[in-house]
Amino acid sequence: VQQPPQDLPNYLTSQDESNIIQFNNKVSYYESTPYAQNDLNELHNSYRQVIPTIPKISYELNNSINKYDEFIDLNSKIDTVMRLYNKMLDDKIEKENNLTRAPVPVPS
Amino acid sequence: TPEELKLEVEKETLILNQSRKVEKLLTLLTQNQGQDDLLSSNEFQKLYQETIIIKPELGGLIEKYRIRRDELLDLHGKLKDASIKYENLTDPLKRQYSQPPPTSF
Repeated sequence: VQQPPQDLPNYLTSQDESNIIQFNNKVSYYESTPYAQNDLNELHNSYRQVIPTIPKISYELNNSINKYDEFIDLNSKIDTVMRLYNKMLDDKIEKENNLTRAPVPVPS
Repeated sequence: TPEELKLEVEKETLILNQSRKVEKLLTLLTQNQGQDDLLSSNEFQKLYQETIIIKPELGGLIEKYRIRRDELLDLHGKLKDASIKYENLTDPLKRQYSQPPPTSF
């Protein structure tokens, strides 16, 4: 039986996601603006903020892929259960129909 | 919030814990095909109802993780690209080679 995690230190926060998008935008800005490259302090600060998110992305991505696969597997098993259950019901109904339609033996 | 996240994880764990019941049902159904007795069993019917009732929630979770996986792949790609560009911008050696040569008058 699976147990829920006691704490969730490895999950990305919305602040982490926002930091990554800001870092990406800043890098593009500095790259396309040569005169801004004389002072890269702001870019360095932005980079320092995203460093801790690198293992978090990896952890959460791995977790999402695993969960997705587990749920898909469970869903597929439930589909099989439903199919087998319906088949069993159909067989039972067919059997009962055959019994009621059985020809009455003609006395000789 | 972390609390909401924790609650969601607990709900997902509850759903995943149903997998033992699903396995039990699968065994019962495959081993008893062609026998009607199973359908008359209250215990079996209860197990079946408890299992199929999670299907809509399961569909929601599959969609949630598909979207999250795609979002994280996108974010990971952005961070990777930005890190490479950052290195090119901040590494003096790489900068030297990426900048155009000074024009002489």
